[in-house]
Amino acid sequence: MKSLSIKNLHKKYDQTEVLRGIDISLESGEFLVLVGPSGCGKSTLLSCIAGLEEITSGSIKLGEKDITHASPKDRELAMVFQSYALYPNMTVRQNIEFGLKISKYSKEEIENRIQSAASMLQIKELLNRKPAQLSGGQRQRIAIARSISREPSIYLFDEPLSNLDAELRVRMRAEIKKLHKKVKKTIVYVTHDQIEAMTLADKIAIMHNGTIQQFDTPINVYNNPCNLFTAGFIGSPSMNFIDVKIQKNGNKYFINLKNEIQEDNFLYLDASYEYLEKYLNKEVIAGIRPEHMQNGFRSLEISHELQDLKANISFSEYTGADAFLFLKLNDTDVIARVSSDDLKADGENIALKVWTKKILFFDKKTENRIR
Amino acid sequence: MDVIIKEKNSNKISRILIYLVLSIFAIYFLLPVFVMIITSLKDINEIKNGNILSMPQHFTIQPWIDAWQNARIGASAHGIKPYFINSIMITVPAVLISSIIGSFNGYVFAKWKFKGSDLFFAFLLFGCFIPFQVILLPMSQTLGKLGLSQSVFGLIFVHIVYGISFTSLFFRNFYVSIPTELINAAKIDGAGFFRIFFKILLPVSLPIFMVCIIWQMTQIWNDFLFGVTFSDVSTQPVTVALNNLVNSTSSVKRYNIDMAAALIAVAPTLIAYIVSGKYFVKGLMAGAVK
Amino acid sequence: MMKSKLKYLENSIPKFVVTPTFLIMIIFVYGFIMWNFVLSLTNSKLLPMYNFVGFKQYIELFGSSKWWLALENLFIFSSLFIASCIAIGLLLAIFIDQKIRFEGVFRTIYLYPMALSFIATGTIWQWMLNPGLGLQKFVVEMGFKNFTFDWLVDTKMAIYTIVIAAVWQSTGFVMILLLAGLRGINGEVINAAKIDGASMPKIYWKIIIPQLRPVFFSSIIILLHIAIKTFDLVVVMTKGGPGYSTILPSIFMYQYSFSRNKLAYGASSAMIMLLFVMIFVVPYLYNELRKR
Repeated sequence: MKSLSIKNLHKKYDQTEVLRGIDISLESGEFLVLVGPSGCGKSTLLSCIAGLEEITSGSIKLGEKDITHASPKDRELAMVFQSYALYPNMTVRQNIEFGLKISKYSKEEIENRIQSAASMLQIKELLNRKPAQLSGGQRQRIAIARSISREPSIYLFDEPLSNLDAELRVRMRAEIKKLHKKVKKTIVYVTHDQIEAMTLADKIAIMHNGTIQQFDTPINVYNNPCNLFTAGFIGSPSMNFIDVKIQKNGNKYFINLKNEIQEDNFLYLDASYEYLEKYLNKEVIAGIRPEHMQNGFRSLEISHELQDLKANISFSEYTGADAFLFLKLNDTDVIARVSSDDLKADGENIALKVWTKKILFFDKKTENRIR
Repeated sequence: MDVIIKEKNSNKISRILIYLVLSIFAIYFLLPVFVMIITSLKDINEIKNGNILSMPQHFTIQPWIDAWQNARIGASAHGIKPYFINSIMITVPAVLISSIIGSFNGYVFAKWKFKGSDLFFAFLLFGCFIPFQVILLPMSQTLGKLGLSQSVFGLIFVHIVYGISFTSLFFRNFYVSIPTELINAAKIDGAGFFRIFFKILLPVSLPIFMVCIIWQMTQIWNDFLFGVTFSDVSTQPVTVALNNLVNSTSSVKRYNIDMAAALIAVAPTLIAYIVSGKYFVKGLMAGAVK
Repeated sequence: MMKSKLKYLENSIPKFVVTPTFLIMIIFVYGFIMWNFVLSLTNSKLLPMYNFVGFKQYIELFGSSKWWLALENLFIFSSLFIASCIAIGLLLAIFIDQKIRFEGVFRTIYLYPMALSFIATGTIWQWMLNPGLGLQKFVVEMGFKNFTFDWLVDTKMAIYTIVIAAVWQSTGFVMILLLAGLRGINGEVINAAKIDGASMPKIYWKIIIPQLRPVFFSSIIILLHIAIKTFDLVVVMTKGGPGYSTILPSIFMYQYSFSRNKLAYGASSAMIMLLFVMIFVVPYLYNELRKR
């Protein structure tokens, strides 16, 4: 069980810089998820931690030990790969043994570790099979068992669930979470799936263009995104971004969201928004999550924080529990996530409630959160 | 209704046409070897008096025996046998060594790239395409200096040197298709360059070894240019001997023996083709710089 | 410190492994090409001598009617060889691709000549085309008294017999390449064209064959390469004759280098052969490697 600390890591391939100054400090036993769109550098970062890629500059420390230039086998880590990377010519048992034999453990020790890993993942009856005879879910278990048997200080997972079908993915996700609770080891986990990121992580690092945009807990990432990118990346459907002008009436700031027929919807902001003073009479980007524009909030406690919004439904998507309404506000396409209980037809007007306290503002130029 | 029948009929006609064309070409491809076989089983009078497509009247295997051990080739009259043995002595080691070297090279080019390795590979690939005439003179000088001229070792050496480009290409293309994650997993398990090769890649390499061995065998067994340039009477491969037999000007032409000798000379590669046609075809395709 | 040294060694293993090959390529391919070039600038006769005479050999080469004949023959041979192989190979590939029965048998028959050496191929065809005993005699005996098919000994026609034999040997290969290409084409495109009402010949001509362009390209390069190297086939069938009528650059090079004691002259002709190959192969390889 060791902490992980990465300082100012850079990685260049020829001319292109794929990682530009990564800083991560992870407490021992914490579960870190690296998430971001494809090409953001998350897998490269994982390879750098694993020692599969030489880094251009910076340092990586595992506990007190500097492993910046150590070879993969000396880093006390285990890795689970997207395609599971099981050796096709070996049985499950031989797959697990392979690394242990290289590390020259005694026969009994190897057998003990195989047995305990196999029982933890319930694969005992598969030990003598070849990978080709196994299903995707079983291969995944073997790959995890193989990494557990190494008893590493840190586990690395490279999109381990992306080759599984939807149902199995949800099951394995829960199992990985359970496993982490059991082994209490540090984990770095790469995914492009934000649900996986939110459900598994103690800390999330949202990556974009080779940098970490935000390094925070799942709750903070959702509630307090630091810029336009992270705000748009987490949440489904994505946060709505609407250009608005900050106005002031007396000591209260307000914004206006004009609907399709140019009707005004004035939304007043409470005292906590006084930082908007610098932006008075200027254009900013307002971020409103779809779930914060509803047709009826259940909780009465926040009713004083709700304000009316009249809009016209362009069309709607029914998803079961919820419905997505497509609206136009300030000439921008906007989605509201409403309860599907009393759905209105396309083209009709609707009166929504907006949870104004949840509105976030972003600077138009820097795209950073205003706060 | 009418239209359907019409279409059915025209379909039938076109099917017949397809089989007809395919069969005609099948005859074109089979006929020469058929003629060869029947000629090799006739005696020489029958050849002179009959025609090439007539079946043997007095079936005889004497031409085969003569071709194998009695026919006069150059100054000696020991048939094609000693040259056949020369070809085996050249082909077996050259095929094995060039395949083994190729497997290591392919492994590096596919999975252990280093700065400049792609460029190196491109230069290696060009080696597949040079017309060998351009290295003939320097090579004969070099073999002379090394004391290897006109020796079996010299020919083995030449075939290895100019076979490596192909074998490396085969193995590289095969190993590229093996997921790199597998290599990474083994690295994390603590395996090094050689252990990964021997424990992870080699066990799954049988198909590509077959392809490579069959390709190299065909190339080396069928070679004439190197054989005729770098060998003498005692080390000539079977292709050179066959040419000397067929084009000998001294004695009376004995076509039945020529044909029997030619059939003996092609037997190994032909059998390899028939037995492992799948790998042969794959070899051809891989040789096409895929 | 110790550790980093070890790691450096470990990282160098791949380079060590390919070093012998690297040296072999440097010496025996690129070095020898240079050496051959140097020889071509000398006046070497039977043995290499390094008395340089500049481009004299090349000037003499291109003043020689025999060399021009060899080039002309190469042009005739390679263009007919490539065109026939591709035309027949395409026809056979398309027909075989019609879900026919005995596909495996047909494929095997078309391809097996590829396993035979050019020497054996030449032996067979020399026999078939022998005017006294071969096909000509057969047809004459069938009753066509005036039938003649004596190309093998006709100075004007002998080069075409080489084409016949070479096409016989190599067509199956092109057929296999094209068949693989045909099988790789997305069937949905063909279904879409059928629904649009296109006839099968039209579909082949307008949709399928254009998609095979890369395969044609590879085939042409490989066949051209075979054509430029062709040597054994001519040696065994005609020895370059009758007269010099079937001489090719490869034969020319061999004769001058090894039997006529004009080593430097032979070397210069080899350089020109290399040049021909490079003109076609280098752009091809560049293109292939860039795609990766």
